[in-house]
Amino acid sequence: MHELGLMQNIVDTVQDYARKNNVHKVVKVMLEVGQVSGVVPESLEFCFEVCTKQTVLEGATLEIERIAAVGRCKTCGEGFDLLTHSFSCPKCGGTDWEMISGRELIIKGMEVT
Amino acid sequence: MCETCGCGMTNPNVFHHEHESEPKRVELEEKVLRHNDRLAERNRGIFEATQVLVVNLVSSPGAGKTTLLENTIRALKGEMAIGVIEGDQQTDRDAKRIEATGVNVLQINTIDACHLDAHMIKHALDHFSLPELDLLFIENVGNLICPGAFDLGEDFRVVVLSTPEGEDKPLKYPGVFIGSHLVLVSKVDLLRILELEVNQFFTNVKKVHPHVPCLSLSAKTGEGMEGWYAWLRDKVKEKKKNLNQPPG
Repeated sequence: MHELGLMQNIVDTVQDYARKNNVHKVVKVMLEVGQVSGVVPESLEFCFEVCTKQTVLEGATLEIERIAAVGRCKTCGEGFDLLTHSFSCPKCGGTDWEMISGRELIIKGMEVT
Repeated sequence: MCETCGCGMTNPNVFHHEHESEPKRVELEEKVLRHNDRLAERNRGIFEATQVLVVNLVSSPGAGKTTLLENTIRALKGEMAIGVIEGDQQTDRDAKRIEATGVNVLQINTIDACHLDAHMIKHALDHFSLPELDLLFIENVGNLICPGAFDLGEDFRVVVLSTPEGEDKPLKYPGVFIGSHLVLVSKVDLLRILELEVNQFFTNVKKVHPHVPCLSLSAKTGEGMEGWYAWLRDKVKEKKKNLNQPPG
């Protein structure tokens, strides 16, 4: 449960941008959260409400895009969802793969007025 | 027409009105943990300059990190200078155990936090004379999820997976295993009672991180500890060699 600290980081970053760019209001914040990043989106949503009170983000919506944990099979080159396929390539059964995505924790952007 | 701004508003009774401007989209593409990552890079630079090998030990609570450390220190302190940073939410129990082995130790109490971060480590380093150390262990807060996200600037992240936790833990908590450099399957003296085989653990670790090296050991009986010591000796030597080479 480190989502509160993470959300405070996110709010700080957005506030910092707002201050430097004369942003009147932030109406939306977009995040990318990987499926094996160790972060629970529901907790982030809860913390967003708490952390944005009385800031330029108050009332903004939080949009979280879940990024699938995807691996590329080193045997046949197939890209596949690691969690759905229990870390084995669905095409050739290979268990040697490299990770393409899934550990992201990124502030993608925001909408401001 | 609006007299103030010249827009096409036709209601003659309204002298002026606020314009709700359209929201503008801003791309940031910023890592949430960029501040931690930056401090971790700074720590890494300090460890490079002082040639200290830094090992971040991560596991569930009760996996046996402290016992493993106690025995490792007793076996190796005659041949290398070791320091330890202990991370726990509360108490200095672990620090006291490590202190009894005769090495320099600093306890960090994270209170609410479920992990150590690069900022805490940066301040903890003031407690040590790094150029005099060969090896610095960081025993992270017992937690199989959160410490995986925080780079501390360490050379190696070592996950300790104890056999009573069950062989399926890598599949259930893949994140921390995916980010590891070595996995130690510990408490192998209990395998017989648990009716499990060490290969079941290795197989599941390799499923989520195909090329990570795995060792099995028991700090209690000493089984497999030599392999772990050999790994540490090797990495300490490598770290020094990297700097001892003349610039060319």
